[in-house]
Amino acid sequence: MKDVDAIVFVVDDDLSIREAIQSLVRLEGLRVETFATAQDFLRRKLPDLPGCVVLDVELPGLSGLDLQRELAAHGIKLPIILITGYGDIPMSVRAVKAGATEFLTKPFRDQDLLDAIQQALERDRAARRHSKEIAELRKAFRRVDVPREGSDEPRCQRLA
Amino acid sequence: MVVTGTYDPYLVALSILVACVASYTALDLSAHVGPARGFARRVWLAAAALTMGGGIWSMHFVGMLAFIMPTPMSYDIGLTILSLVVAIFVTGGGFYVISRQSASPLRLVLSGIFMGFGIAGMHYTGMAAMRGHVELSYAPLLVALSLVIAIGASTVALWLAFRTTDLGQKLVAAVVMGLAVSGMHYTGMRAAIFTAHGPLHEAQVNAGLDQTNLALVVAGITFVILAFASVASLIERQRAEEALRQAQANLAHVSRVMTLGELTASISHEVNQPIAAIATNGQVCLRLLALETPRPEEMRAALERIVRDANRASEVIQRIRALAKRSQPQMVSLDINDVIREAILLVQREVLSHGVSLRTELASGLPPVLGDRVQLQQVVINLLINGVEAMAPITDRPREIVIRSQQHEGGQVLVAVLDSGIGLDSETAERLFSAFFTTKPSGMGMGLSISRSIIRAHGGRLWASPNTDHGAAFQFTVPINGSGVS
Repeated sequence: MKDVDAIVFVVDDDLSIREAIQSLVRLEGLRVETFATAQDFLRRKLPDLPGCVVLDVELPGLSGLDLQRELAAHGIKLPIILITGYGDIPMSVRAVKAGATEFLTKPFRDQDLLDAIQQALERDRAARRHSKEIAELRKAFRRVDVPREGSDEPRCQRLA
Repeated sequence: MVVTGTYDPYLVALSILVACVASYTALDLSAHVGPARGFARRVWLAAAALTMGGGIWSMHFVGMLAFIMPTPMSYDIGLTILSLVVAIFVTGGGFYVISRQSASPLRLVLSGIFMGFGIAGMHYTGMAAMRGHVELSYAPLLVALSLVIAIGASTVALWLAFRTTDLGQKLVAAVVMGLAVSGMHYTGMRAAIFTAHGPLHEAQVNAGLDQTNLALVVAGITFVILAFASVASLIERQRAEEALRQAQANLAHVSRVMTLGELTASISHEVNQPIAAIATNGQVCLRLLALETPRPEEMRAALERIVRDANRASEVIQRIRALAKRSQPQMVSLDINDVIREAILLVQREVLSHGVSLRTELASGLPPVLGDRVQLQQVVINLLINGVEAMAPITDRPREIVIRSQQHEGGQVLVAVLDSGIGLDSETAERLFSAFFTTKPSGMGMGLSISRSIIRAHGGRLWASPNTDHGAAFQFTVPINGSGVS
């Protein structure tokens, strides 16, 4: 389970919540970074590591759901776990439709959050693997595109 | 032969004093007639008539005793009592008519004429009660003049009775009425011509002494009665003020509870946040305990966070409890900035959830104000929520509220709540504060009206004006503790 090569971003305006989640996630051996506002998080240059975002819905200024849209618009595909003080069903449906992996209501069970984080990281790892494969495929295709007589068929077969 | 009397100047002065004190007491009592209903109204009316009528009679009687004739005089008991009854009856009638509804000038003059004739009737009945070795006749012109003075004094008395409110006004009115009543009496006495039948050489020194004693007794009894009436009036005034304070406190309480009801979602969030953090920290502790190698530093940090967050939740709950409690206003020395910060604690979530940013500009080193913590918090909360709601339709500019505190002239501290909302024109600016006026689809329109009554009770002022750029500015002042304004 220990995975130091992954990072969890926590975005919540409440210091108490930030600190509590930070210590819980750290205990799992994960790297954690916390942010008080969505803007602060958007300014952060994201490292090329598997990661996920634990995001408060009721953020001042840019709300959690706004941030979710913003990230999608920027092509950032980090999985998002939404946490909320007063979650209702329509809100959770909207959030999940917009791509949230999990929707938790405060106070949540520690294991629920940790499971959600592991799941999200797994998903991000898979996605990263996937996009890496696609990138490799693209690279391979570029090589294939250069016509070379007599060698086309076996390469194509290998790729397929 | 015509007998001319002399006046005892001390008794004359005493009679005028009786008239003035009686007038003052009657004015004081008549103030209770207006707000009273049913039986209480009749009691106050009767008391006012009794003091005014009795006082006028007492003045006349003392005035007559001040008149020293060179012949012994006595008074017919029956006619003397009749004169007293007449005085009380006509005063009561006049007061009754004038207190009933908004008195028209015609009604006032007619009542004044009725009461004036009555007082003159009282005076001349009292004169007729005189018994002695003289015959009484009158100079018609002076009798007419005394009647005019009686009517004038009565009209003024009736006009003033239900209008004077502050002490200075009442004192001046009482002196004017007292002088008018005395003027009527001494004009009436001047009109009297006494003709003696026989010789005048009787032992008048004793009679003079008796007269003086009688005058002192009558005046003394009158003063005692007036004193009792004044005490009753004072007690009633305090009771009425207490009842008003109580009603205002109850209304403020109801409004607070309603406001808390509207803020339930925001406030429960404010409690839920630390509780959620406590739950997570507690789970961290459990996980730490399950480890093979103890990590006491992390454990301590988690426990410290739990304590801190528990205190935070408890503080919010204490604030709510203070606001929800029905308590008597307690005027204590307060830092207005503390009041503002505590109010913000309860509404910040509401402010944020409406996409509004809240900025504080609190002056440091402000002198403490004298006020009720809960009620002043209520005003700040009302103004903040008001600002938030005024900005709901705003989409083209940032929604921002600034709350500012600063020293104000005249020993006051000023608090301003500025929003960038829809704003207000000068016409609605004043109507905003009337009860049940609201521009919002929901809401009773009580918030600003109650806020203003709270600030008034503190001896301050609450007003609204357009903000410099957009929106509205609501400002209130509260006297500094010890400035002696309230």
